[in-house]
Amino acid sequence: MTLSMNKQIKSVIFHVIVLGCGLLMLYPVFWLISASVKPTTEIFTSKSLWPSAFTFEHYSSGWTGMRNIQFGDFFLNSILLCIIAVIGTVLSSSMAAFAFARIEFPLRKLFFALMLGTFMLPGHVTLIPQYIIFHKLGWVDTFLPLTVPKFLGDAFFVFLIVQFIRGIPRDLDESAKIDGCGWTTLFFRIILPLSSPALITAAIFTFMGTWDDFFGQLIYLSDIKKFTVPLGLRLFLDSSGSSNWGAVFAMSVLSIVPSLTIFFLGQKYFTQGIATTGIKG
Amino acid sequence: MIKTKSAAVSMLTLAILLSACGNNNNNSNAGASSPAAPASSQAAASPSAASGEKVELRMAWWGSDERHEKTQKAIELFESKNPGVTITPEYSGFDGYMDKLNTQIAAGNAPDLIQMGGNIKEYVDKNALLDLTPYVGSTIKLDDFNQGLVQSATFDGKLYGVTLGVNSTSLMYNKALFDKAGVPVPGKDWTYDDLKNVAIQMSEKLGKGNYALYDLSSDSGAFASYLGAYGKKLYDTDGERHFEKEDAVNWFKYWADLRAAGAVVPADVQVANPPTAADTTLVVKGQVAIQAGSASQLAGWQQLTQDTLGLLMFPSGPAGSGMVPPLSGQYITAYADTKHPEVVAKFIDFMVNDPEAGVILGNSRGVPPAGKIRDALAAQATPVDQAMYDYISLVADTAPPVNYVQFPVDNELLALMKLTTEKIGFNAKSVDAAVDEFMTEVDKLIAKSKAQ
Repeated sequence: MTLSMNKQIKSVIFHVIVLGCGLLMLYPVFWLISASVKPTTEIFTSKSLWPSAFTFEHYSSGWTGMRNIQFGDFFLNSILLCIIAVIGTVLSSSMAAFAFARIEFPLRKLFFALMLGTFMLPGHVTLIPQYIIFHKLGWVDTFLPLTVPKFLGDAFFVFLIVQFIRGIPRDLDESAKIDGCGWTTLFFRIILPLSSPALITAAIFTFMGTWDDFFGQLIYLSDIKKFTVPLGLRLFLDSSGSSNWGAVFAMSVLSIVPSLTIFFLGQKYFTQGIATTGIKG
Repeated sequence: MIKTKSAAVSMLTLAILLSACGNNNNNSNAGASSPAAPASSQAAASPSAASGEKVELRMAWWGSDERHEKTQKAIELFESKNPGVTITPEYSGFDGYMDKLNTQIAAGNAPDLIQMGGNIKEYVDKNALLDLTPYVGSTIKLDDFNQGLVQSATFDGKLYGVTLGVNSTSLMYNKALFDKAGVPVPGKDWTYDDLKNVAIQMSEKLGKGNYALYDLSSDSGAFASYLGAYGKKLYDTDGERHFEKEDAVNWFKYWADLRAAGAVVPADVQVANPPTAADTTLVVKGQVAIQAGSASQLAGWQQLTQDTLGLLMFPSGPAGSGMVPPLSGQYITAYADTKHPEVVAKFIDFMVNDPEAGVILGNSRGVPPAGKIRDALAAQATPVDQAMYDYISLVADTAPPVNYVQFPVDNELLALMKLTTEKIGFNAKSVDAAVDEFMTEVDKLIAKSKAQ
């Protein structure tokens, strides 16, 4: 009796602490949401999370307040970029991973090492040479520099998927081959479906990375009509002058919705992907 | 699976189609507009426009939505006055602006017109900016400009930028706290003794958690102004310091006394709530009455509070006011490799001297440098704008006619002043000992700047 009572008390204390920590970590999110519906004069002056008066003016001014463009256009651009990036990354990385994990070809180890080397290279080193290449190709101020490279694989995801595929029993390959499968069918029919947790992990990472990427999009996109959400958000901010804070917060709230949705939709596979690659790799 | 794929494919196709349409539109527009437009007498000044060929320029600036909108309207006005010229705006927030510009310069792909801040010299040294001297007088008219503003963008006798707006250091105050304490807001002729009295008096009346004044002892601008008020100078064209240990002791002692009297924001509170940004300063929150800041921040910060904010000059001393004359906040510069330097020069003149453009741009980049534009704006100013104009004019009238030279390694001086303040503030050193170290380090900084 006392033992179970003890257990219950412990469990209550545990939950209170966990709940407290959770709320503490969520505080910035609550603050953001609260700031987005507060009158401008209250955003930085009032400590209360509950605004004295609710206003949705920031949402409307942020959404339509810009000249010749609506914030919705930035969302469409971002979504388009993300979709292409996800398809490109998942397709190309999984193919490369399949080759590294299953096919014996000359210098395989060297190529694998070279590929890993590319993801050790800091992005800043390649930034300017890459920009010059894209400029010479006439691709600056288009979506091409942000999408085409995604179809050439991403070292980190190739590595992630290689580790996953190595965990899939080779017996399956062999039985498929006996049934007459070539490399292509083996890849599309056997390996790809079985590695879906890793693919979904790669897809979610790519989506979030592209959705939140500010610098790459800033460098390559100049025309306001091609702007994406991260660039659009910064349009309200001028560190050396006046900033439209209300609109920034309101649009920030909207901009985290897609990331959250994708994350919760794929959450199950996401953790599964990380966990299984960890164990079996 | 198949559905998403086909959806993606159709989206891709759509994107390609859309972009193709966009291009067609551009071409047909250009084709339609350039032959139809007879070269005006003004456009004849530039050979490229006169030949009926169309001129395409790009212009980059940073700012917030208000500035974006006003600048675009000014560009449209210029385009309508100069048929055949198209200026494509490339605007963003300040985050990453310089990084993008650096990348573009490295690739030889920078915009023709570039908004530049105080770091203009860095780009002059990189040979990235166009020498505007040949156009001064003929295309770019600067007669109406304060000579100091022209000097600030002149390097080795060549002009590289034109000021878009002037700005000045100030003491920004929250009037509600003065009202609450029942202390009148000081006038323009106040002294450092007045400041001390006001601060002590107000802090007593405002009670716990509220303060009269941010601790300005580590603010190099405030220190320079103090030295000026006592007939000294922080630094001058000869590259030497023009103050003695005694002056620095007086300065740090002044703030140590205020600190001891509880009249300034304590160090820990100040670190947690720095007065440099709207979202952290306690002046906007209504807990501190006075801080140092730049005058152009007034309008933006006023929107964030219901209290009335205002601007005060730094106090005077025995030698009068130590205020520095209004300085350039932002410049418009041209890319060294622009293909149409004449049109670029013409647009630069348009931005600062055209009355219509002046009214459109307003004070979106600080107070306009040309007097006639300021006069045109005064008619439509809001009370906050008016307060800012009045303040800039007041500083321009009050500031002694000295050639102001900024300390060469200002960031390091700032760090040094902060360190000295902390040594004294946390009682690690006496004022005298801390200032001894301060003077040694200042001389090292000056030696370092000479070596550069």
